Amino acid sequence: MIRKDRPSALSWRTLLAGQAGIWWLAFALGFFTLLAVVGLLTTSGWFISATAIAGLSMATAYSFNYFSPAALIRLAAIVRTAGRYGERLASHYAVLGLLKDLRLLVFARLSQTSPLKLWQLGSGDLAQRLVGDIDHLDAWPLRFFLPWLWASSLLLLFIALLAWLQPLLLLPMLPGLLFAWLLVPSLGAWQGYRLAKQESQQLGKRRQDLLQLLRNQVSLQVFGQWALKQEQFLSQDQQLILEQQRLTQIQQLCQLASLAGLGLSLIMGLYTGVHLVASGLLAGPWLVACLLAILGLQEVLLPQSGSFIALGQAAGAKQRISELLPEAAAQTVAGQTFASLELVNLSARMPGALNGPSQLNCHWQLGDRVWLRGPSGCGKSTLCWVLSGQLPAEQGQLLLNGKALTALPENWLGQQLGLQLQDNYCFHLSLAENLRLAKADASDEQLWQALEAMELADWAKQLPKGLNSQMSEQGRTLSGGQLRRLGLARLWLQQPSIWLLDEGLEGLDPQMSQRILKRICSQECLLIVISHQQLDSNLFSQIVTLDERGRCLDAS
Amino acid sequence: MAAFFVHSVKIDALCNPLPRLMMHSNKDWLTSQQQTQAWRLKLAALAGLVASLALMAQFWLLAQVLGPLILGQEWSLTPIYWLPAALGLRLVAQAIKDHLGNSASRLIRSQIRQQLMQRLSMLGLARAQAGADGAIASQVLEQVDAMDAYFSRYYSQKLLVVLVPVVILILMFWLSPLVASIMLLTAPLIPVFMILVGQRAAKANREQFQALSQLGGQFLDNVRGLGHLLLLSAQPQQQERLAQASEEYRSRTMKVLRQAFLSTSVLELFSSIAIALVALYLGLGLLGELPWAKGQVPVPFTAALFILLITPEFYQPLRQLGSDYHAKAQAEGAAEVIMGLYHCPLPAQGSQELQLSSAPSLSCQNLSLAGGGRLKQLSWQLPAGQKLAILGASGSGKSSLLQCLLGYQTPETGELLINQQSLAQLNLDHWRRQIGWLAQQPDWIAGSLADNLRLAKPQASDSELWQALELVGLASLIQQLPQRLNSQLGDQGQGLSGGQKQRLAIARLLLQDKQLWLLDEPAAHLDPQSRAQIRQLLLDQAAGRTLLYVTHDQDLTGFDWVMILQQGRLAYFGPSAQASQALKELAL
Repeated sequence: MIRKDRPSALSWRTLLAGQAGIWWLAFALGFFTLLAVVGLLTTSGWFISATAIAGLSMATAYSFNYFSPAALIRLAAIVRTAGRYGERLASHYAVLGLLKDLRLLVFARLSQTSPLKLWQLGSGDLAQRLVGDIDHLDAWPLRFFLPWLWASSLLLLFIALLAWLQPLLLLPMLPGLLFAWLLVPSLGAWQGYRLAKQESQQLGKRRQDLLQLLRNQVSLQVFGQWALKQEQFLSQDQQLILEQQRLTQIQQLCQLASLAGLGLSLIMGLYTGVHLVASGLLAGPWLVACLLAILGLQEVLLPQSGSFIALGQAAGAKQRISELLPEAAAQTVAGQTFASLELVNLSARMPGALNGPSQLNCHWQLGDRVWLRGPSGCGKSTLCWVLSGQLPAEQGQLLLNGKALTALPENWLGQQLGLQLQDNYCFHLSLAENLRLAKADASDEQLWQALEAMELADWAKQLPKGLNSQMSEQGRTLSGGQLRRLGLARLWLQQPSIWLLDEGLEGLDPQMSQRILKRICSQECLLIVISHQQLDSNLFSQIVTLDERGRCLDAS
Repeated sequence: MAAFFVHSVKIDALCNPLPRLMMHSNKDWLTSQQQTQAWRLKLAALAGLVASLALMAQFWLLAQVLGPLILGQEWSLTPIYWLPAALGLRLVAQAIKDHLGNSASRLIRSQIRQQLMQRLSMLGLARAQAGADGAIASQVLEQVDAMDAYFSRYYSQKLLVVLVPVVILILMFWLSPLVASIMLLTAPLIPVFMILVGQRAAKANREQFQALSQLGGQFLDNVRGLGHLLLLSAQPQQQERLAQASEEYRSRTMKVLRQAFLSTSVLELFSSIAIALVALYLGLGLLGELPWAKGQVPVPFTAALFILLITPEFYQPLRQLGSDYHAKAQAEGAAEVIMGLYHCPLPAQGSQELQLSSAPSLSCQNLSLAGGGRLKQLSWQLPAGQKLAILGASGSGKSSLLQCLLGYQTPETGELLINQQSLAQLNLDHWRRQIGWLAQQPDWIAGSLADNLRLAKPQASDSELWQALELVGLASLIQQLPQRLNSQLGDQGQGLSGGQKQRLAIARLLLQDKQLWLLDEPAAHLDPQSRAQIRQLLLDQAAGRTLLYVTHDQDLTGFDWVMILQQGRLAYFGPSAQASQALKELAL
């Protein structure tokens, strides 16, 4: 069934919820670390100022208690080092947890998509894109969320302390602080958010452009068009690099603006402070402490000033992932068994295709053996997607047990159908694990039977570890024929009521495909073979031939 | 744009001389790339130094106001008025530093990318030596981008990490030799500790990187094959596996990170300890409580405040370098990957232009191609205007021969002659334009049918297009389409059947009207009926041209000559009439 795609509820909150405890720990550790960073400078400044005043006379110098400030300074130095170490470990632990959650979430949601849509999207490219987007989302809490929390909490704490100490000092310092804390990141977001959000999409497009250029290289060179196209690509790339540079520039300018705000606050504080100290409204050491605190705050505010980029990138990633993922849907299965499959005046077409099966009428039952043949590109594969319920018919109807697909429980057809496509896939797992994907609880004996049936047993026996041998990535060491038979062995384990093979026997020698077909025929099922290969017509109860435009020429 | 072209001139100079390509290591290569923007990067370092000096001036001004004020002495507001100037200078210098670094990085990266594209143009199909197209795209795009931080920041930071501490040390020796000694003692310790901790961390880092790519690979694998998992209803099983692997990865990575973060903590520790020590020393000194100098004030308060403010700045460049260090590792890693493309041997080319106005004769003398011995001492002659079928099992050297003819690979020994003229003397760009080329999967651009046809001949009129379509038997079909020549075609040629696509590609060949056709299994993927039709069409249209046709088909009617390759050697070359005997003997 094709389901309507809606943006799924992938909210910022859900992103954090999974590791909430650890995020809080990372926040707390980071908070105390930064507090120690500011505190170390502040206390030191206060300490040497106070000692300077005390040192003016012998009496005060002698009675000055330097033990507690000294202890505080040592404490701040230790907390700063240990805290940062702990914070980094905690936040990275949380990030790795988030990475896991995200991947599982995306995988689970993606599993709700129809296989047809996956094919149309091109799974390889899709996977590559998803990995990049997940990485952006993964970096979001570390580069946006935590910096904001830290900056805000520490700044508010500083403002509160200052208000308690001397409101008259706070007032002139406040504009610079607010500018650095709120206005600069907002300005950055205004200028750079959109750029950041689009960035990875543009990078993806550039990659596609280059791949196409490479694919077409020989033709373009032979046609004398290569130099032009290459120049076009490079100048587009140049454009993109300039845009990226602009983004970096905005980020750097934000940092500078943030420094300017703090610097302004420092100068204003100094100007007001000297008068307050001169008139006795503020103790000198406290003024030094406040001013040094501003210097310490630089380290707190800088990471936050460019955080909009992380937000933009994450928002773009979140949007793309959401668009891709359908809403989670419940699956229901009912117990009716398969009896018949009927095509009534059925026409269908892949989006954008010129050809497709047109006005087909067929009636097949359990036990029928059907061979569908026709020239390349006449719409045989399209018919295959229609039969598997993934592609709706343009006209006419597909009836199962006399009922339309919509009248049947969702995924019912999926349970009945074993589909073998032109390209099969071998996962980077052991041979046994690859087979058990079809039937999780299959015994070793059953696996061997399936391999035997598909004439893979001899090959499997001479593998170094037999069933437990690791298959190479994407099945690269397997030949096309072996890959197809591996797929058939999976179907054999599944024992579906309908076997639908789309060019499922290509690459096998005629005798072998004959033997394998015979074995499949011994099962109680409806067999539909789609092939332009020459097969033994005696095996089939019906042969349907399509012409180049997808019309039925002959059904015998 | 002007700068852009200036640099593209330089590229050729960099690209061609071979010695430059034989760099000893990736580091040398990175350095040589950097040298092209050396003055920008040095200026950036200078701007960075000015920014640091401006910051020091800020601290000095601050201390000048606060010192007398705190001590109750006569104080003046004048330094405060200078503060905005110092702040402004610092910000402007920093902005200049950033800008110079960014532009240098941008220019270097465009230059590298252009070099790579240049190499790709020369390599053509021979680029397969450097990996699949996806991997090559990463080399040209992502890997080059990964060097950004290295070019824009690392180099100037490396200079600053020496300059700034030296300036501060000189100041310190003047103000307080003891503080200077503390700094001097800790400064060399930092690199030592960083190396000690860093080496372990680097090793751990590499292992972690491997684990990450394995995990990423597993996720990729599952998403790639998700369609198949869905058809098998096996996604819950795989989800379970993914969860397990992610959890394992997390605990493994944490082990690594525990070590890796130690190196940054070392820096943090030294910086913190130095500040604490300096503050205590200054404070006790101001009280006159130093055990070795009772009753004395070694550093007066104004200077003490200045020292305290400046101490963190002594460690700051090192801390920055520490956090930029991964940029270096990343760039070196990227350079290593890119070298794959740099080490592919480029074809040699001459300057002569050979315009083919009639079908050429081709011959081959003692031609060998290295690299797994793909072609060994081929000698054959094909008279002008004749049709040659090339047969052989996969891996027998058929495509290598075509690559030689297209000029993507230079023979190790021997030569290819066209009308008795050696291919090695020809300008390859011009030569390739003399060829009509058709592969198994013809190339399409996303656009209309007419756009795709006009790739071959941009100035072709509509009636020329229809004429070509008529010749390949597509005209009537396209007449029936609602948008006729303007019907859209996807970049994979979606919308047409396999046979129709091949016909369209042949129409393109006809528009070009070249005298030499190289056809690489143009019908191999089609069903038997379409295959025979396409083959016949090609043979008919090739009349009067020289034709090389790579095929698996053993039906040789219509060909004048047959070549059979076996493991890079010429197993048979002769008239097609006697070829079937040879095929039997070779059991092909």
